[in-house]
Amino acid sequence: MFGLVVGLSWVTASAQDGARLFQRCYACHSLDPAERDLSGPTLRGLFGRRAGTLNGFEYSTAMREAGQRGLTWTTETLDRFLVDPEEMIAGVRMGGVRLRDPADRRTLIHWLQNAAK
Amino acid sequence: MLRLFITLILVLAAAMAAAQVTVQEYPLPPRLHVHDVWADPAPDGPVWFSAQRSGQLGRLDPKTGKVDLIPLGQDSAPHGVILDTDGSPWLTDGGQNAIVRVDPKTKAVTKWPLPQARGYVNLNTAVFDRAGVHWFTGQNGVYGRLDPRTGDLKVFDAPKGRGPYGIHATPEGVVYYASLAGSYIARIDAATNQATVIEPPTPGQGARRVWSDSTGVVWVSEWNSGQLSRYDPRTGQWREWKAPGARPRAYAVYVDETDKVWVAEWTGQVMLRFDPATERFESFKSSSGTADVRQIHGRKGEVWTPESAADKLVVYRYR
Repeated sequence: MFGLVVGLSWVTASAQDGARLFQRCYACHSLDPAERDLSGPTLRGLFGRRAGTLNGFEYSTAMREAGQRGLTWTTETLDRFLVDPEEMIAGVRMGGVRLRDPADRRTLIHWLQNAAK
Repeated sequence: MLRLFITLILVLAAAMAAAQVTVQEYPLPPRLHVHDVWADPAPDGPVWFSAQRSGQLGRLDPKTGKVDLIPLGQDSAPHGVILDTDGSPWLTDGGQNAIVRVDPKTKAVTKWPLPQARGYVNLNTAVFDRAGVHWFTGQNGVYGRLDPRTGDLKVFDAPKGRGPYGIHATPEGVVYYASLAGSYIARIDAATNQATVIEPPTPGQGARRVWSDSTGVVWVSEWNSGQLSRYDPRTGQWREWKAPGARPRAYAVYVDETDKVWVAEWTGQVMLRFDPATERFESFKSSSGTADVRQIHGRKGEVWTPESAADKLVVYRYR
C-alpha cells in the first residue's frame, strides 16, 4: 500500500513537472492542432512524425531538409534536439532555445508522450 | 510620352535613393544565435547584442570590428537587449527568467528574477518609459514593470493570454506592445498598469513588433499577414501596406530619425525601407542568403540588424 501511494505521488509530481517544463515550449507550440497561428507547429502527434512535414506549417529550409534526410521525432531524437537545436540542425529557427538539464528533458519528453498523443 | 518620362524620373529617383544606402557587414563568432541589437546613440559608439544560444551579451566596436562577449549566467538565453540613459545594457533573459543589467565598465551582472509563483514566462523584449520604468513582455502571456530605483517588480496577465512580443514607447512615454499569438497591440496605462487592447483591421494578422515614430504614431510588423500597419492614437485610424513579394512575413519594425520605417521581411530575406510620404517600399539585402533578422535598431544615419542565421551584424548607412 505504501509503495502504491509513493508511486502515485511520483506520477503526480512527474506530471506536474512535465506541465511546468512545457511552459518552455508554450509560447510557440500548442497541443491543440486547431491553434494554427503560433510560431511553431502543433506538437500533437509529434512522436513518429517526420521532421518538417506537418501539413500547413511553413518550416525553415533547415528543418525541411532534416526531415528529407530522414529525421523522425522519437524520444531519443527529441532529447538530442532539445539539448541544443542548432547543434543538431544548423540553421533551425529555434536555434537559440536550449533545455540543458538531462533530467528536465527526460521529464518533459515523458510528459509529452502522453500529452501529445 | 509624358507618362514614360515621369516613370523614368520615378525609377531614377528610387535608384538614387537606394544608391545612397551602403551596407557593411560585421562577422560575429559562429553560432551565437544573435537575437536583438541596440546601438549606442553616440556616433561610432558600441553596438550591443544578445547572444541567445550562448547566453551572453555581445559588444561590437564598429570602428575596429572587435567583439567582446560577457557571460550572463548558467542557463542564460537572452532575447532582447536595450540601453538605459546611462548606457547600461538591460536584457530580457528567457533562460534565467530574469531581467538582467550589465555594467558596461565593470561587466558586473545584476539580476532581477521574476517571482517564482509566476513560473516561466518566456521573457521577450523591454523598453524604458520617460519616468525610467522598465516595461517588459513575456511571450507566455504577461507584461510587467521593474522600477530600477527600488527593485519593485510587478507582473500582469496579458489580455488574451500568450503572445506579448515587441514593446516600445512613444516620445511622450506611452508604452505599446504587440501580441504575436493574440494578434493585437496594446497600450499600457502606466498609472494603473492596465493594458488596453487595440485590434488591427486584419484578423489573425500576427502583430509581432511595434515602433513609434517621432509623432507618436505606432508602426506594426505583422508576421502572419505580411503587412506593415500604422496606428494613429490621435484619430484611432489604421492603415496597412502589404510588403512586396509572394507570401511575405514581416518580423521586425523600426522607425529611423527621418521617420522612414524599416521592416525585416523573411520570405524574401530582405530589409525594406518604407517612405510614408510616397507609400513606397525600397528593398536592401546583405550578402547573406538566409539572414533571419529578428529585430532592428539604429542611430542617426544608421540602421543595425542582427542576422541570427548568418552570424553577422549588418549596418545600413544612409544620408
